[in-house]
Amino acid sequence: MLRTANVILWKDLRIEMRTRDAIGAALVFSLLTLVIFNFALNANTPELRRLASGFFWVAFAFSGTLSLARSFALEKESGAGRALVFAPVDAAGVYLGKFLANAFFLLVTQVVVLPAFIIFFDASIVADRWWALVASFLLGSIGFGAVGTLFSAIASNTRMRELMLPLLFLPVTVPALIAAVETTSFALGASDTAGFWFRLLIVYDVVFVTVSLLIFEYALEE
Amino acid sequence: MTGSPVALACRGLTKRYGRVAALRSVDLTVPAGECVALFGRNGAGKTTMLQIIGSLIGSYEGSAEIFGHRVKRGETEHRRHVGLVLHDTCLYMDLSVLENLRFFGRLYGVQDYEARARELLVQFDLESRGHSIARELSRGMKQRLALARALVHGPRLLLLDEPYTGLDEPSSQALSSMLERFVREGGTVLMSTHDVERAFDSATRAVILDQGVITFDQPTKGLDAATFRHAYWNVLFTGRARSGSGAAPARAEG
Repeated sequence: MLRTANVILWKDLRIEMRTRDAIGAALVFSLLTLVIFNFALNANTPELRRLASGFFWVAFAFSGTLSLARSFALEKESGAGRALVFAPVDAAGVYLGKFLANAFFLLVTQVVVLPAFIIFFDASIVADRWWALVASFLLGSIGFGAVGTLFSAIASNTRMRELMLPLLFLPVTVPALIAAVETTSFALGASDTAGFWFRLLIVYDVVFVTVSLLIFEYALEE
Repeated sequence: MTGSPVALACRGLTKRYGRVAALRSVDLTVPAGECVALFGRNGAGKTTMLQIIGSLIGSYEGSAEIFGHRVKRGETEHRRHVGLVLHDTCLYMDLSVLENLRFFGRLYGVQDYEARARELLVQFDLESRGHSIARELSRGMKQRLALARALVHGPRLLLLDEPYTGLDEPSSQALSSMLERFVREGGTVLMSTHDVERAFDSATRAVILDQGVITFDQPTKGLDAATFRHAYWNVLFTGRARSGSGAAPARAEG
């Protein structure tokens, strides 16, 4: 399984390095959303700064959908995904490779968008809570990547795939989204505790990665 | 031929799409070392048959075995013996020629995938385009790369869905030569095609599938391409072979 995952991951990273489709689209969309929030809501007020992490994750949720939609679109092009399905490899390995690539792309998007977010919302990270921001981004990307990879594969086999992915994906990610907003708020000093939300994110990630590994074979069926 | 191991054995293959039966209890046994050309009009069931054998379709009736391994969704053993070229090229268009071959070589667990990829580049006359992005290749080159991809793990059975489509004359000749060589070296081929002359270059057996039923099954040895074309056209335009008049009958198994 790990060998297959490694091969798939390498392939997706190579394609993304060459095309920059997934990260590029997500970055542009994220930045645009933050700019609109900033100007529309006059975000440089203390009240809105407390809600800043919510704006960040809303922008990320929608831009991440674009990035995830690309994940299986490239498998559909020229039928490459059928050659992948036909290869004597287990589906869990394919899932793991695609999931790791997607989680990495989502994480890179967050890291690149962070400086713009800090400027637009005049946000500052509490000195001894850097770890919380890193953990929030990491756990959030894993959760979004886990669910997004599964639903991207399912949606890619449907007639209205562009519409199906957000319809399937966004409702399921609501718990992770709320938890990620709360943990990021903690890192930005807008709340004092986030232990429960970190635990929720960890459980969410473990559950969805495990379930997806087990059922991904069926998601690949046309 | 009777002493050859059986490469492919289909028994009672039946596949329905709603009320439409794409295949109706098809039996086909292919001994190792044969190159079978599968003819039939559009919608005759050729691609469905190849997809079932390639385990790309999960729900069907009957059974298929490849070198004794049951074709079944989730089973991977039979796939190690098969190379598959579908109507689509099944290539990653944003990877280079070499990267595509390396990727599939690694996926199939080929030990020295780098050497194998370079060997195939030479064999398919793609040496000079090794670093070209697949998207930039001509249709003929993409088809050659698709074949190289299908052969990267050294399969014993090749399943080809209309491999001559879109190829110019030199590329078609090169494909026929490659198939002849593959069969000469002990490989087995099952290909769907409409190109009678081209298929007869390399095929050792001609099969016609009409409305999901095999209506013609003869060795190409001693069978003139022009005579066969006449029988084939009867199927295409009148369905006479199905009714048993005018064309050679379907032969017994094997």
